[in-house]
Amino acid sequence: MRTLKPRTTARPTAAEALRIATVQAPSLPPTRAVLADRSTTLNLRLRMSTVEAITAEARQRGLTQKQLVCQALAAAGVAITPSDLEDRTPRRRG
Amino acid sequence: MPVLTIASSKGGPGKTTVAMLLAGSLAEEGLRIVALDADPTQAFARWAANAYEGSAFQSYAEADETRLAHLIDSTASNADVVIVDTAGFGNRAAAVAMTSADAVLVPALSGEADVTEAEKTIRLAEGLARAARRDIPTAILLNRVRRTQLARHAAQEIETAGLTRLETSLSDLVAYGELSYSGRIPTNGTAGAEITALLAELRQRGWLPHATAHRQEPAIHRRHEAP
Repeated sequence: MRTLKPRTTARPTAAEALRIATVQAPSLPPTRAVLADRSTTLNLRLRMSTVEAITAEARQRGLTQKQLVCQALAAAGVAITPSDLEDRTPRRRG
Repeated sequence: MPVLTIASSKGGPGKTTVAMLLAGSLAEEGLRIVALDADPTQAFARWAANAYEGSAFQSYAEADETRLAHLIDSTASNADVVIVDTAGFGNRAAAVAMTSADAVLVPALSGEADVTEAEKTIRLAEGLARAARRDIPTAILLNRVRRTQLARHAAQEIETAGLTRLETSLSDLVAYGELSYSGRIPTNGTAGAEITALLAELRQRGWLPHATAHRQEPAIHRRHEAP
């Protein structure tokens, strides 16, 4: 016997709403052009010991300090843009 | 609590004006209102922060669809009504706002392009509702109406398309235009009567809760940047 799913009155979670909107209307553009999401800086004044701990942990994991911080924030539910989770350190060619 | 999304894929039908009218009027009744401005122009959030003079409500400007989805999620439980104003073109944030909505209000002028885009917006909302397996009612609110044959024709076109139209409409009044500068919600005259009728009809449809006893502190508006 087929399982017939009841309609729900519950509001979808954020993740569900994003998935549904993406699947139902894949051609819709983002509200802000991607170009408008410019990079900028975030300066933090931290204790030296904190910076040393971040540096050591990042080195141990093979990450940049920015990656380490952004990954932790993403894991905590902060909407970190995917490109901020990548290692984008400029490297010399050859 | 209800999430009311105001959407249309056409620019200029009065989405932001309707959002202002609803947010200000409902806050004045003592309801806890959260206004989310998903339009990159941030006209609604700017108005709420700089011009609005009525009872306080929280407003956030957030056009990114991911952050908007989380913002709707996090604010809906602490507000009597969440009002989401969207940008006037088809965009992901508007689709997310419609998916998360309990009702979608589509303002439209009487012109052909407005009615056509209103229909597209409602068809999109219906598709999103089906995918979410929810009932998300939609209705068109005719705006800047002049009592002419054009307005009657637009109403007829909406009916022919099988779309729901609110019985209430908003007239082409200076009071609505002044709102963006004065920050005062009209309470008298034709504008006041139309706003009262709009709230009553939305309540009749179950889109809005009734006024409660807890009143917000007056005057000072709190604006928050989206986290």
